[in-house]
Amino acid sequence: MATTPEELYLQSLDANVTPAEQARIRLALEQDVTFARTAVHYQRIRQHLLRPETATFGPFFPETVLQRIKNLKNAIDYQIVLFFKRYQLAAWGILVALLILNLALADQLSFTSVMGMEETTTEDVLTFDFLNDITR
Amino acid sequence: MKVLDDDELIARARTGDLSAFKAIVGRHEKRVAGIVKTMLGATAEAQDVGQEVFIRFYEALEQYRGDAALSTYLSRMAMNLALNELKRRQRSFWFFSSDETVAHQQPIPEGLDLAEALQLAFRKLAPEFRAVATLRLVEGYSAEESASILSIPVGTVLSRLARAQKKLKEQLQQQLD
Repeated sequence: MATTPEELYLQSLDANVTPAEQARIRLALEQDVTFARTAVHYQRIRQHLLRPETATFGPFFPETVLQRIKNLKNAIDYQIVLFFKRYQLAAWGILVALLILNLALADQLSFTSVMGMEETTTEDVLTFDFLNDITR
Repeated sequence: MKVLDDDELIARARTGDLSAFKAIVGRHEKRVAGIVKTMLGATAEAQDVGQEVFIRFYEALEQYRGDAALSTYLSRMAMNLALNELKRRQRSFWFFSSDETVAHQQPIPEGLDLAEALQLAFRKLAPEFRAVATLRLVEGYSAEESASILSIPVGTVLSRLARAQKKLKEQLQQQLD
């Protein structure tokens, strides 16, 4: 809440003030020379700040934006990102559900049991090695 | 030829009509440029942020529900990205001495006229004060519109505006007297 005439004056520039507050500002402007000068300073600052002309990003800005969009659309990475963006919530949900399921079914709370790796046998590993040897 | 409104252009852009999206960019470029260039200065980063605003909007076309006017929506996005860029500049101070931080530290040189000094003083404002000053004092939005764009109460806008103007006046005493 504005307490000093200066604060009240600043508030009056951006919002409605009551008739009583307007009268208080008017009185302060008439009686206090320093405050009157301060008010003029604020007016000058505001006049200089208000944008005189419209800003732009220069010529061909829409064309540049469109080119970037086309480049993005063409990039394979973009398609992958979009794919994951679309399904990331569902994927996270499934992952968490599977982990919880594994956790519930596991006999112990070790990393290997939760991740389902305790089911891996020596034969599985040897089979993989065997296949690698064949393809080499 | 009939001039399409924003909703019609968005509907066409959703079907893949890039010329409709180009029309949206052309229509709202000035508003976005005003906010971004006032916040960041006429820099290469400002141009990048401006492009990023429209690219993100394109990516979010399907999610855009039209709760707020498109101009307000884009202004909010522009302000958020500009504030992010200012934060990034401040973080980079730990590694480099960026223009932003140098401007904060140096006093306003003597002999500048009010317009030049005001530009420097404006860059010294903290981002939250610069944001309200940009919307209300430079771009001419009402206090209510500024509050809507920044997602803060009107009272906060008014108090930040008052503090921003006091800070500017303190720094520009020489030019104002």
